[in-house]
Formats: sequence, structure tokens, C-alpha cells
Amino acid sequence: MGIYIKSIVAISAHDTFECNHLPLTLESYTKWMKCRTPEFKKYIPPKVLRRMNRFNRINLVCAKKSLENLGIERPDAIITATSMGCVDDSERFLNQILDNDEMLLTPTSFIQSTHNAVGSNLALAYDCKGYNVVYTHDDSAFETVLLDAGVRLKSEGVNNILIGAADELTEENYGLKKTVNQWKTEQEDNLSIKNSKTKGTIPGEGATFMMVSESPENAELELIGVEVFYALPPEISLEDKVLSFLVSNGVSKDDIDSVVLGLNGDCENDLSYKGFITGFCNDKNVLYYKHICGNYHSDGAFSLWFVSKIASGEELPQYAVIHRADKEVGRERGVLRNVLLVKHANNRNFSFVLVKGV
Amino acid sequence: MQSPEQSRVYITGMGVISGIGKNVEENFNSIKAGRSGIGKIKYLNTVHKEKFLVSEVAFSNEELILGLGLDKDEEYPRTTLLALWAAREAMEDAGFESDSAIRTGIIVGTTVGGMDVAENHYKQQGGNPKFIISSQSKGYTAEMIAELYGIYDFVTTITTACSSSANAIALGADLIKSKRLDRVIVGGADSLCKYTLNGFNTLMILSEQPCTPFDDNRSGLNLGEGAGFLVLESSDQVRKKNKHTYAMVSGYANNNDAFHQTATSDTGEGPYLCMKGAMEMAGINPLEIDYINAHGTGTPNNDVTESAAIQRIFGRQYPPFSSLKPYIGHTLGAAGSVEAIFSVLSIQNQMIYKNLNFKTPIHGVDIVPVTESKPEKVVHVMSNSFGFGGNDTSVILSQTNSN
Repeated sequence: MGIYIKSIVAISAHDTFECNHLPLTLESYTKWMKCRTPEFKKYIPPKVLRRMNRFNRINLVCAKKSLENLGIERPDAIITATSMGCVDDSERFLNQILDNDEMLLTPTSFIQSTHNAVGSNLALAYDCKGYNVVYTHDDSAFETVLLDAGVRLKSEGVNNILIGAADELTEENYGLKKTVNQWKTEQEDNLSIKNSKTKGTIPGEGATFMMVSESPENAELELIGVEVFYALPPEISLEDKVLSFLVSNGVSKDDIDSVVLGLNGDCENDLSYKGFITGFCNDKNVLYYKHICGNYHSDGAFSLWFVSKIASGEELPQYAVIHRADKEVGRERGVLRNVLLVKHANNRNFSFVLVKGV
Repeated sequence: MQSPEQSRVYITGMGVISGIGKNVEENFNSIKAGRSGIGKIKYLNTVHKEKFLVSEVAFSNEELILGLGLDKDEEYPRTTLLALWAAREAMEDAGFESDSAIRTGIIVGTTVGGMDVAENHYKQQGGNPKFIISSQSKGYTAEMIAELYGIYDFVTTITTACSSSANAIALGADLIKSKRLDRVIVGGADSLCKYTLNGFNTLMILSEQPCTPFDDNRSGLNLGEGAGFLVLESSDQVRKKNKHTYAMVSGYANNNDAFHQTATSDTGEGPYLCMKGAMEMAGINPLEIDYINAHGTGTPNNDVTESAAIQRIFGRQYPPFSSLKPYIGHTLGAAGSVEAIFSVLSIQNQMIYKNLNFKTPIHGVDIVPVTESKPEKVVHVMSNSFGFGGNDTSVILSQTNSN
């Protein structure tokens, strides 16, 4: 039985939540790509809203919309990813401890700062007593969610799983990482990461939620395979590893129309994709997405939103193209065939996700 | 379709460090002798030093770094040091050898990760941003183990509060059963830090006395620190390498209580569901559980709701149960794996453990924990881990033929 992804809802630095289409043009950001939050009170009752920080709000509105689109009242399980958790409340509580010498503290920030608040708030909101796990592992947390969701769907009584990923950034955290040159200097913007010759990235933040199930009804994508691995063994190339992943999923190289890369603009990081682009990808569309949402650990979830839009027939935007296939590929009878997503961060925490338009 | 034997998940190595010992043997001897590791704070730099009791690991960071042979000019989160310590013991115990033909994984559960390092450097004079940034990565510990042992296949980190490492065990077992991995090092680690001590203090659930789980006069929990790791291997690996096995992971379930951010529902719905689910997976009935390693934190809320859930499942014929928190404190993200190891030791040594500090049964709850450590026939042990956010997980460890 297949695994289908449905109703992907994303909050990002562009208007992806209310509009839910690929942006026609992209905005330029030189600093960090703060996400555009909707008017929360349109979606969440004031009583609930008051108890939630911004981070939990963006998660809840995405999850809510994803469920409502499908008319699902309660998911059977909730699996989420966040690598940084509630950064704002973590800083708040840590600062309170340090500033007040561990005195006069209140529990609110502490409770909201825990990484698993993401999943548990959703469980509370939907009275979901099923399986609930939060993955927090750097750049592969979301892809591990996909892997886990596949395992979970085999369990009895688990038909619809709410999955998602979110990470937030704050001025304080941006400033901290700026001191060690994690970011580009403000001379470059997100629109120039494709050919950047400098180190550092343009960071972002956002939340993306979706439903997975074994029934194809209302599906946006079919999930054919996922692989998460830490590093390439010394004697194995990225291309070798991708080829064996395809074999294990019964797909040939020619079946792949498009490849979406986790190119993030850091020249050293992106160097690793170079041979892969000219080799494996030479007859395929090669796309990237991190300039739409900014670079953050769990942005793999956003890349699925991006792919789902192309799969649904929206025109492939030129701004997302690294290399366009010579021959007309994809969209046989209007259906996008296989898309392979390949991502890593500094040659660690690799993931391959293989999806198909439906 | 694979036979039940083929889908078994075996434990072939264990390692633990806690307030009652630096390895499995010392921990077991302390439990057997009824020795508690709870006492005054020695290493944690906090204004609450005189107020709260904790269970600290009896080594400074410098001693741990030296013992692990790490670069002493680097600064490592204490959580990472404890994890490396316990993982090393577990891997040596399992006769771990690097072999690219064996698909290997590492799964770490943690709550605070490297927060202690952030506390030392954040906005402090001479603070090093590099250390703060790596301390904010929850994945740092798992990656450090992967780098040291050359594990390339699967590395991840789970944060579900106090059930984090119980979920690490469950995921590891699932990945072996689904044939994605041949062996996996699973466990968890958490060190004491100001962040958790003060966080729990704001919730007013820390006791100033040694904790008394399941006692009517319980006044809260004592925090602890530590790490526990297990090596899980597939039946194929065990057969091929003729490995010694300690026990098998026969059942587990994860449910959310979906009631409150920091409190469990009166009926213990989440705990009830995961205990029931774990037995279903193990294919055993309640009468076959020989011992429950309870979550038993010593907070008013946990112990009464866990008792309610135990009564709902087991009725009057409830199995012997005890909480080991009076020995090691509440080790948070490490609790699930450290206590799973203690559960395996219960099977290995055919004994059940005394619930220290228990005097008076909880008013209106007529179940009483084990009051003396004693020999007992133990085939199946249930180990409970319930966390904030309603993240509840129960794991069942079972005897294998080689025990």
C-alpha cells in the first residue's frame, strides 16, 4: 500500500499560508527571513491564543488548516520535528535565570520552551491520545518524521497521521550566530545564493504541517521512499548512495524527472552537490528552495510544500531552477513523475526523499 | 512474512552512569544494598545548593573528560560526557566492532542537552559563542558518538521530556524489526543544570527531602542526572555472531495523555493506554507481568495517576512494583533507558527492588509498592516513563532462553 501526503500547509517568509501558491516573484532578504504570520485570531480562539507563544501559534494554525482542509477532526498520531524548539522562550527563561540570579522566575517560559511542547500542544488541541514523538536532530529531524510515519501507518487503527516541522529564529539568536560568521554579511541576499562564492547562509524560519495516510484520496504527493543517514562512508559518492536508494525503492535513474537540492548558499556546503548536478542530474530539472523560506534545520518540510505546488500543475518558476532538463520531462498527462529531494548540512545528516505527483 | 523469532530485538550490551555508580555493576550493587544517591548538590553551581537534594554523578566534568580521553581544551556539555561514558560501556559490553556491512544506528533521548554550557557562556564575560551554539543543538551528543565510533548509517535525537529515551528504545526496536538496521545503540542522557532545576522549581514540584514515591506524604521529586545506553541487535546478528543476550525488547507503546501541559489526567489515561499497548505488542496478559518499574517520581500528581492506571489494568492482582527514583533521582531524558537497564538487571538477577522511603499507602489508593528487595521469578518487566506534555511510553523487557 502506498503512503500519501495531503493538505500541506506552510508558513514562510513569503505568503504561502493564506495564498497557498508558489510566489510569482521572491522578496529580497539580506538579513534573516522572518516568517509572515497570519492574523492568529482568525483561526484560534482568544482563550487558547493567550496561552501560546508565537512558535506554538504558527504550528497550531498550520496543523489546523491541514486537518480542516480534509475535514479530519482528530489525527490518529502526531509526529513533529523541531531542532531549535521555542528559541524565544528558551532565551527568555535562560536570561531570567542569569539576570535575576535564579530568583523570581515564573513557569510560563519554562513550560513553553520545552521542545516537545510542539507535539503536546497539538495533542491537547485535538485530544489525540495516539502516538506522539518529537524529533530534534539537526538537519534530518523532519525526514526522520517521514520515516517514522511510514512505520506508524502499519499499526492497527492508525489511518491519518499529522506530521510537521517548525523552527523559529530570534534577533538574539541571529546575533549570537552572526558572531561566528554562520550568516552571510548583508552584502548578499537570498536571491543570490545559487552562485554564491562566500561562506554562510541566509537563515529563515517557518512551520509546515501535512497529513499522511495510506488512502490516495485528496493526495498531493505519494511518498515512495525515505532514507536518512548521517554521513557518506569515505569510499562512497553521493551519486552511488542515491543510486542504491533508488534501486531499493524499485525506481531507475531515468524515472526521476526532477531533483530538489538543499543548496543553502554556503559555498563550501554547496560544493558537495557540484559533481552530483553535472553527473546524475545532467538530464533532469534541478531545483532549489531555501531562498524561498530561508535556511533552517527543519525546512525539508517546506520543500515538500514547494514540490506539491509543481506537482499540482503550477508553472515551474524560473527562480527555483538551477538547471532545466533539455527534453520535456515530467507532467506526462499533466502528472509530475518522480521527484527526488536530496539534502545535507556540511556533509552530515543526509536525507533522500522520493515523491511522485498524483 | 518473518517468523516471530526473526523479528525479535535483543539487548546485547548495556552501560549506565548515575548518582549510584559509574557502570552497570556499581549501579546494581547500590540498588541491591538499598543505597540512595540522593544528597546535597556538589558540582552544580546554583543558588539553591543548600535547598534542594539531587542525585549527582560523582565526577566533575574534568574527571569525565580525562576518563574518556577527550581533548581537555574543549568544553563539552555534561550531558554529552555522561552519554559518551555510558555508550562506551554498552558498546564494549556488546563487543562492538566497526563494520560497514552491519547497518548501525544511534538514537539519543535528551531534554536539556547542553544547556549547562549555555549557562556558563551566555552573556558572560569571556563567554565563547561557539560553545553556546553547539550547546543549543540537541543532536550534538548523538553526533559526537557517531563521530567517535564511525557510525554513518542512522543518527537521530528524540525529545519527549521524561519519556525521551524510552522512545529511543522503541524507535530502535522498530527500525530493527522493519529491517532498516541490524543493530542500534539507543539510550538517553541528561545532566543537572540551572535551567531544569529552576524550571521544576517554578512548577513547585521539587522536594527538599529525599523523595518518597507512592507514599501518602510525598512532597515532590529530586532531580538526578545520568545516562543509560543499550545495544539492540537483530536475531540475525545474534545468531551469526553467536552473541550473548541479556533480554529482549518485547513490547512498547507510546500514547499522549492529552490532558494538561504538566499534569496527568485523574484516570491516568495516557499511562493506561501505553501500558496496555505494550502488553498487546508483547502478546502477554497482565498476569504475566512479574514486576513494574514504575515512573513514580514522588510528585502528588504522578503517583496517584500512575496508581490509578495500574489499578485499571491489573485490578487487585497487580504485580510487584517500585520506583527507583529514590536511588537515582529523576534523570529526565535518561530515565527511560537507565530504568530499562535496571529492569533487565531484575530479569538477569531474578530479583525485584525495594521502593525506598515508602511508609504510608496513598489515601484512597490500595496498592503498595515493593518494600524489600528480594529474589523473585522475573520473566517480563514493564518499565514506565511518563513525561510533561502527556508524552507517555511503556516498554516491556523479557527473558530470553540464554538468560
